[in-house]
Amino acid sequence: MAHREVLSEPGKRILMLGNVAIARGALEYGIGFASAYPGTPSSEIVEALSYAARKLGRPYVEWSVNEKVALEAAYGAALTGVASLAAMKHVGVNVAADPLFSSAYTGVEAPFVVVSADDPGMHSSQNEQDNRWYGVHAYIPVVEPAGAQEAKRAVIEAYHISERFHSPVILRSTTRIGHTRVPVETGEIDLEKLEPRGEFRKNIERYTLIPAHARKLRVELVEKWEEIAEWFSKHPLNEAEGPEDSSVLVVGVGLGYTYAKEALRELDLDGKVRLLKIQTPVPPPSRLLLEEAEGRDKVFFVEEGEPVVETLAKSAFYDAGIKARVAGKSNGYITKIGELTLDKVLPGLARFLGIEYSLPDKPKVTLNAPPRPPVLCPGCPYRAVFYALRRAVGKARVKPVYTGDIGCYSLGVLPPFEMQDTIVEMGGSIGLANGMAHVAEDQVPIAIIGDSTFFHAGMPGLANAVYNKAPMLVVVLDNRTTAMTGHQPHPGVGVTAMGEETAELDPRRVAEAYGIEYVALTNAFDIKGQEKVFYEALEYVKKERKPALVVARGACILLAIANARRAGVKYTVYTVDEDKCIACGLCYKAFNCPAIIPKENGKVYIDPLLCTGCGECAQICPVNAFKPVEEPDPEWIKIMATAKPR
Amino acid sequence: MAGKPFNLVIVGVGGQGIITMANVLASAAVAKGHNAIVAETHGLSQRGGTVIVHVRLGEAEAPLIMEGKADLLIALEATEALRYASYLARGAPAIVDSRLIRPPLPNVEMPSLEEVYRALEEAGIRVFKTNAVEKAEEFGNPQGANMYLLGYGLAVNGYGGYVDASSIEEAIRQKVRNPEANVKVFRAGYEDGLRAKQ
Ligand SMILES: Cc1ncc(C[n+]2csc(CCOP(=O)(O)OP(=O)(O)O)c2C)c(N)n1
Ligand code: SF4
Repeated sequence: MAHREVLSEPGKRILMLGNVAIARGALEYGIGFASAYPGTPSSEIVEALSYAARKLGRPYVEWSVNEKVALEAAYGAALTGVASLAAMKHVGVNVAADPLFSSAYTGVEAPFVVVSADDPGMHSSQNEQDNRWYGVHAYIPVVEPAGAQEAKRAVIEAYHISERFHSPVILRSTTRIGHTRVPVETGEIDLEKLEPRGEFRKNIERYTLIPAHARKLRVELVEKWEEIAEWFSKHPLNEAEGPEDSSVLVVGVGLGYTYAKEALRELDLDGKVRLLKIQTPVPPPSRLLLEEAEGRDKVFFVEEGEPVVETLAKSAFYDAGIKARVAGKSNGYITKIGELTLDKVLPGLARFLGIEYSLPDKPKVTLNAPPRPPVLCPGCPYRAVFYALRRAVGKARVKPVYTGDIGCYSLGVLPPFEMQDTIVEMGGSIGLANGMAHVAEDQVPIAIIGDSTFFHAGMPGLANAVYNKAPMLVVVLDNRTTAMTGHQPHPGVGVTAMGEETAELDPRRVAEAYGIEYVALTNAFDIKGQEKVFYEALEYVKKERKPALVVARGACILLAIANARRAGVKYTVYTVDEDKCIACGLCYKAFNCPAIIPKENGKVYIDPLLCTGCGECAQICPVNAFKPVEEPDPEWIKIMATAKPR
Repeated sequence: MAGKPFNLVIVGVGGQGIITMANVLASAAVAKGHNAIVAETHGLSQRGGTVIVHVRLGEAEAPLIMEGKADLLIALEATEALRYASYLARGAPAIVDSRLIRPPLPNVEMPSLEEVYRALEEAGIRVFKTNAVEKAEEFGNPQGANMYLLGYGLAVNGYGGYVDASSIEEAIRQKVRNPEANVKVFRAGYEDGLRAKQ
């Protein structure tokens, strides 16, 4: 997606996604380098920067192979004197944690901001971790905007902080910041400041973390931490409002400020109670917190995620002998589960203040909506892969353990396939199979991994499988893109974030170079052809007790449609021959394409608005009831195999 | 129009153009010098899953609307209105389109349209029933159902006075593909909404 607003002319007030506002802030400050691995809710930051880079020729922008490499690359640029940004989702910071910790010790030449996009509520993630703890753990200051409306300002301030202290800075965003649209006032972008040019200057004692050097840097780090906390105590990102003599202090941290403010409004206390907005949670601005809490009876914290500032402030209050009662998430006044909402903040705040409050009346509807989880799109190649793989497994008479991974194919966990027995983290498919292969004697691990995930974290696990002779079938789903996060390119597709052509890495050649003997390529849309290859591969694993790898190649159908539209090629939808259909239900029960809709009599029709012309249904119907409305264009068939993102 | 913000929830299924609809409305408010906050659903949920977008116009701070506080609910798919009706404030109306989209799962029970409407009305909600897809098709623009409903909503309660027809039309021209066709559908929705309201 383009996110053109990122380059809106200066002096305007433009509706922008929080993530685009973050990108704009980085451009207004003047960065020369940005890198990321996509992940919801962070991807639009580097998508917008990539758009800017293609238009302006700068800054340098890349999709890195994973978050560790993204962080290292941006860190390397900052050591070379170029202001840089690395963006990732919260769990991406786990992947990048090793260099992150070191970056605090060495510090940086030019400012360096790591954007961590946390996902409270787990809209698109496997956990609810609060990455402000990384700041505490690694001695890296954290800036956290009070909503999308503050995002642009916060990122610019984060760069100034990094510049002042020569320290990396974490900008902590969350889903409701990055994916919220608000009006943003645009400032100037200075092209000269975006130039990606620097020079590395040797500084052995600082940039080589051998123990002798690291010990000295540790002393500096701890001292600097105090200085930063003091600086934050007078930083304009943190502000207090309301009466000085109020007996109550409400502290709103980051987005929590907006809920605190509205909760006070709702209780008719806005302007009657002291309210402190904190946008620099780590290190907490202790002096400011102490001054504000001094002499008050009660202090209430509202923050998104864990009670980070609340916990640290409590400890500071204890040391300073402050007696105020403190409440928030640490003691059950606000639940730690899920994202903040006013429904969660208001009752806790009212209870703490001893005010009668009941939640507003709401309509009670007695009829339930049907469940509507996300599903594989109509025409998704993965549906054909799962279908063929299940048949091959049945024929080869193996007991499979489908170790799954993170991507659209995770949706294979749902009925009718239920072919993702584990989904834990990126690369976990091959990773877990490495253990199971040695201990689950009667079972065959089948690791199902997407192409982007293969390059991200699959390769070390695969090398391990060869080295340690772990029998498993690895199925690489090569859909020509990183689909789940919005169709970004990756090392397998031959395009960069700058829009340039580049080498296409082929997972088959990787496997061959690793010494895997059974390596095959299939057409992901061809059910019979694939079934045969999967069957052979399983027989090989059974007999040889070694890993085998199959690449199932077929473009994400949304990507194929977008490519076809640009090329002026049309796809042909399918219809059902009513007379032939025997109402067996295979196509909607066992295959389950959303475009195939059952009627009262058990026969089906195809919704032409949903059909994408993939042709998979025509291969599974026992009586050949599906047919294309006209002969499919050969160009379309070609695009289904070769489409690529821009 | 300072003062109370206007809270709207738009719900439906991934791919129905809900984000565009919210974006057009919020841009129209911003163009008139007002504040707007739109909290969107992205990522995983877009794969045919349920979608809810919170739109707040005027002096609002937080991105999410509290349950029981929405001034209007617009559902582009009827059963989704059941899921999110609890956002409505007492006495606030819902615009519920007749479109039913069956979740593609084996063996789901799908309520009928009549059952959906009855359940909403029994909960005390004033329901405006629309046929947005057909209406939009009359203009040769079946993808324009979202713009039809945007117009309908303007007629039903004016979005708190933060926008008017001409600011929305201007926003459609800037933000939507095939703008003239969509402006027409928007106007048709507005007219039908006015009629239904009487
Ligand atoms: C460490 C980490 N980084 C990023 C993500 C976000 N993420 C979720 S799914 C996905 C896409 C993986 O792409 P691919 O393996 O090609 O599968 P596809 O979605 O194309 O099926 C990504 C990047 C994540 N969950 N964890
Ligand atoms: S976005 Fe692409 S890969 Fe993902 S489910 Fe849809 S068709 Fe499949």
